[in-house]
Amino acid sequence: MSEENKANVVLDKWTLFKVFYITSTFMAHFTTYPRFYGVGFAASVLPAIKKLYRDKPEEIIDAMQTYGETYYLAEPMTSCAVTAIVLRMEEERAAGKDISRSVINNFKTGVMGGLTGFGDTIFTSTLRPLALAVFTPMAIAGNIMGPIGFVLFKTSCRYAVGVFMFRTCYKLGKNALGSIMKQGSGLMGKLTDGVTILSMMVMGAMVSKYVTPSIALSYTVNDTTTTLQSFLNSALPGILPLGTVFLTYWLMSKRSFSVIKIILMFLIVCIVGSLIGVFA
Amino acid sequence: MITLQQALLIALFYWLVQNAWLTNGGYRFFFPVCIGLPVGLIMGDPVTGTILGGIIQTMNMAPSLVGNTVTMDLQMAAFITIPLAIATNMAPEVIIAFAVPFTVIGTFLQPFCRSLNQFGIVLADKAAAKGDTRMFYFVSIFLQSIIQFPVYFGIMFVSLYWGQTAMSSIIAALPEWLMISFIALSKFLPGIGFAMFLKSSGRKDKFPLFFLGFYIMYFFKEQLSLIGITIIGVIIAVMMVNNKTAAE
Repeated sequence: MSEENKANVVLDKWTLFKVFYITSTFMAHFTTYPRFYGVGFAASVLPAIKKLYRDKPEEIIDAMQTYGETYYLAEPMTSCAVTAIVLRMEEERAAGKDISRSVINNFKTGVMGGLTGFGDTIFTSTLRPLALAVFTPMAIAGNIMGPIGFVLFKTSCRYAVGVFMFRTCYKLGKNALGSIMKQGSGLMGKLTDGVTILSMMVMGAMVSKYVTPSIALSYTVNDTTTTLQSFLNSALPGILPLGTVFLTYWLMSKRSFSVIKIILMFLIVCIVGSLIGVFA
Repeated sequence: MITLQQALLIALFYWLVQNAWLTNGGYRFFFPVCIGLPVGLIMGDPVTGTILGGIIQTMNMAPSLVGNTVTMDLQMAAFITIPLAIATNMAPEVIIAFAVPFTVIGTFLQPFCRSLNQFGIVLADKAAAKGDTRMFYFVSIFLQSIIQFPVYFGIMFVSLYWGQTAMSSIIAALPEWLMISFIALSKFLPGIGFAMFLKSSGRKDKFPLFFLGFYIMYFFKEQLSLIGITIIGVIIAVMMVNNKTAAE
């Protein structure tokens, strides 16, 4: 292989930055039901493909078609790992190794589920509620650092994870995910486990703080009036919030109710309740 | 009164936050708690805006997105109720009650726009077949924003500017029993988000920890903040993961 060819198959920093920027910002932007982020994924690796196959337009067309037509769904920041590894495979392919795009595509689909689970556990289930728990009370107190802090915190967390994923996986290539994703004993498995435990506890605590239905009924025995709520509090502590959450959970998972149906159901309960004086 | 300029700006901002290039890929993750401040600024009262944003946020503190699909649209609720509340000096309880219907109405917008995106696929495929990379970038980066503009901007502007009188007279005319039921509903609603979290976590084996967190907070509400619970949670998580590793 000549010097000139070799320079072609290793990506420069600027191209890598472009790929990272497009993946992290735009991959999830154009969403369609049949493919979700398929087109976005293709667009995000496109700068690299253009660089690698500068004088082979048919390769660029093939890449756009194979990647663009595949269903892809992952949390954008953790998906940086997949993008980085795909870049690595494309580099090898451009250097003349025999890797077909369908193999790369299968790899993508294979790790998609695990990565989405990981991304959702880290961002959606843990960091976001924690950030909300810290910054919402500040906002309610009228402190404008509430909203600003929330945005800064979330953005820096997202970029920290994204940059870490992209750099590690680009350096280690295909083996990277194998070692960190191995369920249970791998780093990612451990982290997912620990973070699930943490988020379960925080969620439980947030239920008791923010799910606050109460009933206004009261009864009178021997001239002392007791509210039903205080009776409930001492006999069955937490029954209303926990009941609300687990009734919804049961309806959604066992009866596959949609959220709108559940909201309407609660609305009917509340209207009837307010008419007969259960709520006040 | 919401003036013409204010309605235009807020509607424009509503469209902007749907775009990845403003929210650095946290597409659709713009929360009521953050909306309050800029909308309040436009309406000339950033502090009240911030407070209202926080109050609306408490309706759902749990993750409400599964696979990037909106299930309760607090965003639309915040964008409509905060300006209206600042313009008409509404009480916070009334705002919560008024925000409830919009959390449901808003959820129809996103699927609608995604269906419109369908024809973008045809464009993308054509561009790919021709090797037209610029068109391909255009579809994946700008097309959705353009499709969304009339929908999001239009709805917000119409409901804020021409809808404000109707909305404030509806609020004034709401009977007390309906108000009470909306307020009661707003106390049940946060539960739905947490139930969805439990469902999507798929980890029934970890549910006892959910109860542990709940009851620690329930009995020590006065002494303990959520930071405190987080510290306890981290300790328990480290212990459990270590135990598991040791057992293997």
